Amino acid sequence: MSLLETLKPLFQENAPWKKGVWSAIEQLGLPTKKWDAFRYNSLMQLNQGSFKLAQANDIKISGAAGIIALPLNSAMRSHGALLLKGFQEALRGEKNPYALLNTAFADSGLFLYVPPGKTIEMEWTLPSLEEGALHTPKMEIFVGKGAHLSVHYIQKGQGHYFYNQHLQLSIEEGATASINEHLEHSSDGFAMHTVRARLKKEAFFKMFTFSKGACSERHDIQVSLEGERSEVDLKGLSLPAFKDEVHHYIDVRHVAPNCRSNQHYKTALMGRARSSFEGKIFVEKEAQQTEAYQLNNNLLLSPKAQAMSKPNLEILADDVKASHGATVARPKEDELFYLQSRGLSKKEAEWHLARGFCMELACESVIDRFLHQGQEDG
Amino acid sequence: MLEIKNLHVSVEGEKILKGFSLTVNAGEIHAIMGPNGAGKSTLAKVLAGHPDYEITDGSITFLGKNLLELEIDERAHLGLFMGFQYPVEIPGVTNLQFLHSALNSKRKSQGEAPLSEEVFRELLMSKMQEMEISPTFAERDINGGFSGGEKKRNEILQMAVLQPKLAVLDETDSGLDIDAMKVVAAGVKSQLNDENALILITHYQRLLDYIKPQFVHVVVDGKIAKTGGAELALKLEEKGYAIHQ
Repeated sequence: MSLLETLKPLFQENAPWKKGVWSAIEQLGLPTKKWDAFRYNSLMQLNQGSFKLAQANDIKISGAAGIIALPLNSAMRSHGALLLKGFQEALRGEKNPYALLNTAFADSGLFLYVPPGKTIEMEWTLPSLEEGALHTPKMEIFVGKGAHLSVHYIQKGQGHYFYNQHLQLSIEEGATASINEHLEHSSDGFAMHTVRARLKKEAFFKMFTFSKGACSERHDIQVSLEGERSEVDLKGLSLPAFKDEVHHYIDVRHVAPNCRSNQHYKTALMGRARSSFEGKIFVEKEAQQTEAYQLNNNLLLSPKAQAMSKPNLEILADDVKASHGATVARPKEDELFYLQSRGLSKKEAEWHLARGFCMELACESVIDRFLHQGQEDG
Repeated sequence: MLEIKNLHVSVEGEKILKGFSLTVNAGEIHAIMGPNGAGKSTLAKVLAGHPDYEITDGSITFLGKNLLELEIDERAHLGLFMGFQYPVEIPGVTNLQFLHSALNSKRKSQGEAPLSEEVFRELLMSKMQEMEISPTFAERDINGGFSGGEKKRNEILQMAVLQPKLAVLDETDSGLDIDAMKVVAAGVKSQLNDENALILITHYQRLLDYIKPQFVHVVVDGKIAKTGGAELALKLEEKGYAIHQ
């Protein structure tokens, strides 16, 4: 039985926002390697898998004084109209079936509203992952005018599961939102992370993801710069080892003029790990004086690791500063020789180079831990 | 200490060294001079163990061991140091981290306990002071954004930390102004004693005004064409290499 066949009987159209979701999923079907956006992902095991629904455990949060933070279910009762509008809009243009699956089963999650002018720093503690379960947390975040939100969370998983998370952000005029996520998925787990962000005038969105990869892990991030002088900064560091995979599919859309976007993703691969990066910058005709940058660097630390990179620019405006770049390389011979000539073994020299490669994006302790695990893998 | 006999070396099929022989004893300073393409830098890289060079004939013995059988790091542990003509910039790795692990690797190979970061930092700071290097170098990336002079000074700092038995400095003077060269030369000289030795590879005589060699060798077309004392360098400066070609 396929994933959809197992999940269909579990789907209940018990909320207004679930209306039409299942038929949208069935219409799209689940992706295969023939879908351009999913061509590097190993999906067979996931799409043939069967999962039970995870118990709806709420996300625990800290530092939420002065804002509205509710479990999604209760928010549907208190802020139903606001949420419903967002869900319906999101549903219309959604091309990722896994993002739709999240909506179909999103009974747990978080509604966050940061009132105008408020500054808030918070931590989320996500519920632990159940063996053999489908988890579909949905975070709906509204950052009011001139407010500042900063969120940090860690997700760790063990065993076999399907974690399908959806983060929706609506960032009002002059507001900022910063998300810092640290993901340690299981090598037997599947993970789909969807982020959809819309920015109003002079809004700023920043996101950093650390990830070790999973059996299959994919990040699908779409950011729409809809207000003038809004800005987005997306960064990520992945250190997959063993047979783990991590894929990034990023779409930044410049709709309004004078906006700025920056993407920088780095992956250091060990063992038989695989990664892909597909980043798209789309600059609409009206989005003059756009600045858009995109960079993807990959370091292959093992002969059997594979990295794919496909940066993309589509520019309709004529007054635009944009650049994109991609590198896939092994540790440089001249750098290795230099370090070895001072007495470091080849392994130590590679370790230093890998560490140096990662350093600009993450802290030493995290890098060291995952490089060690990867090196043990060979 | 070092004995090179009839060394033949090729890179990508091209013969560079063609019967090069040289003996260096403890306490000696040798200068190797010669025109471009004579094989001077090749010699330094072969000694350090660069993988691109193919040794087709000859032998190198260093402190009683067959150098050609040793890995790059094993050569360094044994006491060989090569000062690079073009030191490599390595982003994200600080001088401190790198030199700390390099010294500890060497200590480990000699059965000595590793130095803690604290102890090493003190050692590094004192060496930096001797070399007139700003303490901020410690936390900077290896050679990252360094000027030519700073890079060369950093090479000598590494030498001071690792205390090799034999240092082979490949055109350490190139790209240095007179003031920088004096500092570098003083740094090198302060490390010399009866138990170690130095090979200076250079194009110009001027470095030899500051570090006086006992032996000057002229390399032409892959082997030593003439050997003399310090006065040979002066003669070369005056008359050029043409007379030996």
